[in-house]
Amino acid sequence: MTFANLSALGVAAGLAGLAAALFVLQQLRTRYRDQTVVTTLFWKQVVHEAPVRKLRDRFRHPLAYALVLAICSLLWLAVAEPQLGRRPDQTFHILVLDGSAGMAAGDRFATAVDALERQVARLPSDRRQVIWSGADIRPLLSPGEHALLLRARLARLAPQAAPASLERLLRQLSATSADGGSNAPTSVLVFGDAPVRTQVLDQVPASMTVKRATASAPLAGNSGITALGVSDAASGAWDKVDVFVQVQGTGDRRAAPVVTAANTPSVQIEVNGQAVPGNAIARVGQGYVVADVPAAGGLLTVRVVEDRSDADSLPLDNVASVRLPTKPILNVQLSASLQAVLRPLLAADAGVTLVTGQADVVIRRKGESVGGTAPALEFVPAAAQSQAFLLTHPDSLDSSAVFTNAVADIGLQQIDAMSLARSSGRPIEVSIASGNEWRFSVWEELLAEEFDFTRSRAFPLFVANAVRWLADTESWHPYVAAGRPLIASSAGRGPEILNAGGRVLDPVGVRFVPVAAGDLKVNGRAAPLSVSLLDADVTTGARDESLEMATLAPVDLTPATGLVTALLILALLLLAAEWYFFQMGRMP
Amino acid sequence: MSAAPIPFDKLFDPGFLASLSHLSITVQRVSAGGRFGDRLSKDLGAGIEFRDYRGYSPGDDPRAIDWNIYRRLGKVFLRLYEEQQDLPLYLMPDVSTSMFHEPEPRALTALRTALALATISLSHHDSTALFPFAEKMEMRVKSMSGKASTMAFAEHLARLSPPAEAGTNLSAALRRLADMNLRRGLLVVISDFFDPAGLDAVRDALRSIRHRMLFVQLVRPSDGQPDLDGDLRLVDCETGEAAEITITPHVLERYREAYAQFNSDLAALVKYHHGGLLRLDVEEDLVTQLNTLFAAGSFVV
Repeated sequence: MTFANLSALGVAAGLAGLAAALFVLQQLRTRYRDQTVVTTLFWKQVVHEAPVRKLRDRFRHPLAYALVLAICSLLWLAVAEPQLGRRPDQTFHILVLDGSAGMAAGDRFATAVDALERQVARLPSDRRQVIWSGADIRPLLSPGEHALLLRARLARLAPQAAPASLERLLRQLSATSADGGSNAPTSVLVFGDAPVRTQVLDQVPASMTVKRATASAPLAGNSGITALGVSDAASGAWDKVDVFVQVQGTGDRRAAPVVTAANTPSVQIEVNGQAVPGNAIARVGQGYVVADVPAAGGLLTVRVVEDRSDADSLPLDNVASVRLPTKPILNVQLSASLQAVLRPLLAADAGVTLVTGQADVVIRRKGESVGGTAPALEFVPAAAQSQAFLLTHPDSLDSSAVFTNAVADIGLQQIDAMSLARSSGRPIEVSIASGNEWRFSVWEELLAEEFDFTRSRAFPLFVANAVRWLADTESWHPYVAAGRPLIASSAGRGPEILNAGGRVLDPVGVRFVPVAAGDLKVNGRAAPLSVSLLDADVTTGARDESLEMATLAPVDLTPATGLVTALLILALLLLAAEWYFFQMGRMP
Repeated sequence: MSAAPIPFDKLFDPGFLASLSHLSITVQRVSAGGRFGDRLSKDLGAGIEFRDYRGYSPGDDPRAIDWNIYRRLGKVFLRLYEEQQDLPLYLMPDVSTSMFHEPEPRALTALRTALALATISLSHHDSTALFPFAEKMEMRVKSMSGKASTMAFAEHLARLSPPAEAGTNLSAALRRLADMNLRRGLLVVISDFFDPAGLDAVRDALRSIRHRMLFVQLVRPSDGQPDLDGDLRLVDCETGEAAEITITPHVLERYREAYAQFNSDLAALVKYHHGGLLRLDVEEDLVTQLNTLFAAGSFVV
């Protein structure tokens, strides 16, 4: 016998509690109702034969106690809902279909879909749910929906160029279970090869089991792009970047296949559709570098081409692209009064050209008219400005956002403010104000000899950053990979990502993570970013043995025989018996 | 607890009094030494009904000598006539709290019964007294006679209400009555007889009573069949004493037995003292009940 609503221990404890409580109640003194009568002469003669119940009096009515206990016990058992036979499986089944890039290999996806459909047919519709775990996580079949809907929905699905999202799904399920306070048993069955780390499984609640339903065969052979990124050119050219490419294959993750220039059969690299010359590619460490690629915002694409079609199991990792940065040379006009101090420093900056007119940025002292209305780095007397650093921006912008970005971009937080404060005898403050044009005002006393600022290592960087901030240089991204946070070259100014509808996505204070390979629209930029798969686990076919394999079997749906009705009828009969005994005067 | 007297209008119903006019109370023999009345007394004297002869003794009234017998026999005999005297009626209505407690108080029936008996008695020129009692007996009317006194007697009854200490002590009342050395007459006790001291105390007190007795017991159906249920704390309306009891069919059965025993004991007690017992249901029409009891026009005590 099993109980649907309570555990056997709970039922036993309840029965014991009822017995104790009723026993105490039987001994409790009754609360009497006052009734005035003309005489108690005759009642007194009867009282000694039917003395009242008193607190902790001797147990006088065993029959009444037995009957009441029996009735209450039957009702309690009815609440517990006893059932004859084995209790049917109450587990809720979450079936997860892995739609990550790894499932594109061979017939993995088809096999998983087939196994998924068979398992769905075995489960009661109200106790199963199918979830798609690809680039996004969404329900495929809700509880109660007919299985035929799943077939129609699966027909439009295919593995996506995205890393596995199973861990993200498990975290969500764990959090949902914890928030809901539910202890109902839940079975998560994974149809696919998505790996799960042990620390993620450790967070899964005890009531939830996670198993893998299908075991895929290892990749027969595969090679693909596992890394693609850009960096400043090692040659020092400001307007060029170096591109790093890593191609890996199955068997030995560290061994790269033959990679040559566009004229080789294995790999092709092109920028805006123009092939990169092979002599520009060099092998560096475990990857390859294309040096001095013009940083003009072009699209660099890498393709892996295998000689034999059976040697490459995964097509999704054979192409990767990266949007090259735009790094123009800045025209800077320097006033004559600052030539001695700043000219050598600016001349050494490869991203800057000193001009005498048509400047992107001007550097001058306050009161000088050099540069007109161009964004200016001004040095002002400390007596004329209370703050050591004052940022001025056009009225149309939000001061707090500009301030945050400026402090990060210029690197003001890196300046040794304490040392400057000691030297100047004044507190070093940074402030912002709105005005007609971009301007960065700095105490000119910082250029004096008594300050170490101009001799510090930070000074050239401070000037370079200030010039680039004033010129509003566009930040760029060393790499953009699916499933990894978007990293920008500039610490302060992150890109505003747009969704398909053109609305800005708010990552709520965290870095944006692109979920799948493809284009990524950025607010204010005409050319989208390019997201690549770049998942070494997918490409090399890394095996994950952390999940236990499940045995797929039909769920026992045979209902147990309920005893509630019988218990209630029995309780009713006992109530009738009690009434009979009461009427007969055998029971108080 | 002190209840209000029964309203005069409720007691004094002309129709009720008229319906009693044909009734009478007959005592087998009235004791000697009373006033002249309608009752035959044990005294032989100046009545009009011839009773017997006896020999002359010095001091006898010479007017009673039967001269015809002296002429024929030469001996002096006196003619003896039955002397008609009154029947003193001592009414003792119970005015304890229990008589006034219920919505339809027993006192209403008690006082109307008292008034009925007083009316009958006064119409026969009998001396009528009123001694209501509760904890103590009180002398409200020592003697009243004549049909014209009916109204005055009713007014006395209408003023009756429970005194401050309104328990029932019938035995004390009877002892006091005995101490009064009243002329022998008819003592009528009208009560529910719910004396906490019990009938044993009454039995002792009755030994000193020389009067003929009529006990009028006022009952109602709920006395024998109380409509009570559950766990109750029964409070005596007179003494305030409480009895906690769980009412069950068995308990009710035992109660009925105790009540029946009480009635039986009361009847035996009255019989032992050669008295009469009238049991009146306060929820039934009093005139109907009295007509039934006075079936032959008179009630013999």
